[in-house]
Amino acid sequence: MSNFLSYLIHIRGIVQGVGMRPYIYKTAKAFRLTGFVKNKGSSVEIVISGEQWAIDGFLYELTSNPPPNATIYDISVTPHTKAHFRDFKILHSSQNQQMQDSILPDLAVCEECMEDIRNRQDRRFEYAFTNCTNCGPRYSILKDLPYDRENTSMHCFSMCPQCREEYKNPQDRRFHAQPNCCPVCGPKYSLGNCMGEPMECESPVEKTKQLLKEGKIIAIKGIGGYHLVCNAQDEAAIATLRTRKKRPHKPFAIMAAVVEDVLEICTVSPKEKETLANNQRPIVLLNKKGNALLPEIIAPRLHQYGVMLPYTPLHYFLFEDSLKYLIMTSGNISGMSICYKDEDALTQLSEVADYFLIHNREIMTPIDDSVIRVLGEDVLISRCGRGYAPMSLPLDTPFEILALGGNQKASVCFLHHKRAHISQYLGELNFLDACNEYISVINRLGCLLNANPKFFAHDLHPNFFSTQYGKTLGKKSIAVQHHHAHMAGCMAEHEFCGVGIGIIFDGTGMGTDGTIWGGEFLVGSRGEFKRVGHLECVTLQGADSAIEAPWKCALSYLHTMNENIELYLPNIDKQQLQVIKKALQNNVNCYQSSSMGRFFDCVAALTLHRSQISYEAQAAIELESMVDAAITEEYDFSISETEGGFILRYQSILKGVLEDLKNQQPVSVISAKFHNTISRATVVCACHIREKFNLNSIFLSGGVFENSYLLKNIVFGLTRSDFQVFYNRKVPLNDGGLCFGQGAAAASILEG
Amino acid sequence: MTNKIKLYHGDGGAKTNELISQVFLKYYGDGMESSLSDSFVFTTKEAKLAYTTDSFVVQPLFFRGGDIGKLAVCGTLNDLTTAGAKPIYISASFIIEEGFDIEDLRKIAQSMGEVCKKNGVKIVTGDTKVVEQGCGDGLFINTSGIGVVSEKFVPSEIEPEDEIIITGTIAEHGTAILLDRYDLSIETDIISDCCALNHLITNLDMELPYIKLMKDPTRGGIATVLNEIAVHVGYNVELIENNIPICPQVKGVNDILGIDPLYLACEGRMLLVVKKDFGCRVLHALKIWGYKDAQIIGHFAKENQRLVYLQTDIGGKRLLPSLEGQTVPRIC
Ligand SMILES: [Fe+3]
Ligand SMILES: [Mg+2]
Ligand SMILES: [Zn+2]
Ligand SMILES: [Zn+2]
Repeated sequence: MSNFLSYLIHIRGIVQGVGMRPYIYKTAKAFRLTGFVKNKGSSVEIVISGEQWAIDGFLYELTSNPPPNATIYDISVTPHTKAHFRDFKILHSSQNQQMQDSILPDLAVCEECMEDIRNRQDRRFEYAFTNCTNCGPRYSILKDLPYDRENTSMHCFSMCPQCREEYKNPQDRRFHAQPNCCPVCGPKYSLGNCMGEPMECESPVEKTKQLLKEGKIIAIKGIGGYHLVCNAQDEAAIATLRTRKKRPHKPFAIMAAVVEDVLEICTVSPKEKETLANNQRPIVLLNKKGNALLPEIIAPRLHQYGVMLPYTPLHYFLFEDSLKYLIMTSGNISGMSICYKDEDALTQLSEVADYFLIHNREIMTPIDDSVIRVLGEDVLISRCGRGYAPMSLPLDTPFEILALGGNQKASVCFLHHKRAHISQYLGELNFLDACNEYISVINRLGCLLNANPKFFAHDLHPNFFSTQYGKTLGKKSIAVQHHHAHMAGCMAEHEFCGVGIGIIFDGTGMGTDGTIWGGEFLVGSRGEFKRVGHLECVTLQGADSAIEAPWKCALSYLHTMNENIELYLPNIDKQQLQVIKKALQNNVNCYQSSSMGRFFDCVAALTLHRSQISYEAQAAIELESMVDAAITEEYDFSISETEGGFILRYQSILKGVLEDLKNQQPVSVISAKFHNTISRATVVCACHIREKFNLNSIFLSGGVFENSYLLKNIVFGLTRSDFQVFYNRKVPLNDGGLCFGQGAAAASILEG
Repeated sequence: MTNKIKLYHGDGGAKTNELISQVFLKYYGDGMESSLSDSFVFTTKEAKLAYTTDSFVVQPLFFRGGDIGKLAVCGTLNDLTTAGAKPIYISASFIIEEGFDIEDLRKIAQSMGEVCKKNGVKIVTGDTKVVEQGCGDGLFINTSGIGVVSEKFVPSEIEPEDEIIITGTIAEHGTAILLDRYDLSIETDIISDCCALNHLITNLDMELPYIKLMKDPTRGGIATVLNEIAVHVGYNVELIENNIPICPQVKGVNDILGIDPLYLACEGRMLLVVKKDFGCRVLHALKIWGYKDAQIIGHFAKENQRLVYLQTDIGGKRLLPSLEGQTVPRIC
């Protein structure tokens, strides 16, 4: 036995709840190794003993072939003194909380579990809470780490003998599957009326389907919260949902039973298909096919649908031939956060839903569906929610920082043990409930990670809830300029540590000079930046109201150009126009802005006569939807170099738009020309900056790049001009990614 | 802090407080405590007195519903009222720019006299200075006042469920000033609510024991003032949107301009914090005395995040943050 060696192995990463220990058990057994494996905090600790060749083989297998849902950040292998074990064992988790650094997101039900569910002979036949180590809820039911049943909301369901058997058997797919359960011992669905009072029915699921077919709206409790569900082919039901939810236009997400059904309503690339079907099951933005299979009011005036596939067993049960597409929208009142507690859902949704399909497993943290778009081969996250959050990315810094994000699309980021942990999307921080949820997510995530941040990074805007909250946390707060945060986040995502050019186009961000920025060309690193160019400033009137009423943006632009306002805004009350004009002349409630988002709003208001919006960036999104991609022309533009950097002038661009309007050019043409112009001007401006600063790496970020047509064009133009171009993929390039950028910037600032 | 005075240092918000605490309080010692009160209350052998001062720099000097003189007297009377004091004497100092029209000065003096007479107070001392042309904006007035504090008014600790009353419709002064300063070509008959509120002390004589705090929502409007109070007492403030009295014209003008009237000044309204369960009684008394638009607009909540929010009619609780500086958009 003298040639027996012994090693202590630590694996860090997403290694719990993914079947890591049974896998290690099987692998170790296969190589005839002895020792043990256990969860430790959120890492896995292994001691193995055996001959060198077997240990080598074991390690090779471990690194090259880990379980499908596992992500290994690093493995450390150190010699161990004790060499003699009788067997290989899986030991109980240790409560040591030292290395909390990964939390597994919720996963869609796997194919094997679906087979169990479909099998009449299986004890889990048609059971909606079926899961195994490869699938099921995780983060949403988690109260604390390590990921053990006692630390989840499954702890109040004690396993029946059969489930316990599976749970204890290392050979079983459900070995240590923490939410393991069956119809005998697990949670159940029940159907209630609009007051939540339980209804007598043989099968809640069958009854729900029948109600859906009758055009009813059902609030269904799922993984991360409640959905409002209705038949997507029933126009009247959808219209009712819109009225009740006070959401007149914002597109609704669709769930289809299978990919084949998606193909009937959308064009789907292979990469999009793969994304739709991955086990994170996000909502994927797909181009509509030009057919009328589904009513227009699902996504009025838009060229895309948000579509997802079923991700819980229950979802699969809801479909049949006469029920092929369902509207699945977050269960909330417009503008507020998703309901996830039963009492809240019953009070808030009682006037929206006709019935409630509820289950008795508590949701510990609310989490919306994720939203993804695919650009060529790139998968871009627009909203980081279920399946993706909490997201963990490497960020090598010794500092423990909590970055607080912005005000809209709020999310937070912990820098902890050289990684960044980004929370789920938390909505707008304009309502008390959302703010309370924001604070509790900070506390819960902090506790799960066992993080104890010493520094707080926040936006410059003094009136953001996140900023004001940050100031109450402690003295060591670091303000990060909004667009610098966007740039730093893009750099950090690509693990870029040098100096580059940032092109940040978004709606609103407080600048260092007190004006509102948003069409920015920056030069700098993660730790510092200089504004080297921007869209020409314009005086906008009306603070947030200019954003909700894009005609005010148009008026502001036209006013500075001395154009005939009434001619171009015929559908706006003349007296109102005069008042705003006077207000502009007298600087009443006005601010200076270089925002690219507002420039898009202006053009959208002029061309589409969209005077009031009901969801964020609606006018600009509708403008993008109108683009005729066959048009290659563009408008004149000019860029002048001033003391304040390169200024992209808007005058000649707008003159071109107005000229086309006068000549009654179709909106699709004007929209395309406008997009082309901004793309070209951006590339030209980037070339000027390259010449002056001798930099070649470009980082694109900011919410305006949610516009895929613009992003594609700019990336194409920059690449053709030999720039090295980066943009966010894993972290949203809208304000949902702001926290990550703030964290990256703050870490660099602290490092000096 | 910046090393130059900016306009925002005078807006009554966080920056003003920063200036006061870092520049003035440092040298004035304990005389000026940082409290919510606009008046200083002290006791002599004979009586409990309140003492206050205020400067007025409003533009335009004449506005719909008043002028700088009326504003100066009312402002001081109202500050004394917040301390539960019946005013007796007022001082008035004028800083006049060379070239100012004497007829205008006469009109201003006249309206000051009228307000005093109507409210039974006397201007007993004053001062007049003239500065060179270009060194002043026409006219600045400083007033101070002294009053006798009613024994029945004993400010006490605010607790959850205590009720909040406003004595009339909001934001009229702020809106009137906007309209007159910028000639916004809006047809309305909005006038400033500028008026003296010292009669509240006599009118509410029976109710004073149930009133825990009085505060006039001038600079920054009711949202700003309630934020200050929330920070001070340590509880959340919940307002009911539908209960806040606002005249439709004021709402209309501000809607067009994108201004939230909850942040606009009133110069003749009082916020009252009333002991829980006594809101209706105080409200009733107010109505009897002619405050027909008075309303219970909300209450203190038990949560201690010190936030102010509005229960909206669609069901959400919208935050009313304390705003720093100019109102700039927050939407990205
Ligand atoms: Fe942004
Ligand atoms: Mg005062
Ligand atoms: Zn499974
Ligand atoms: Zn069971």
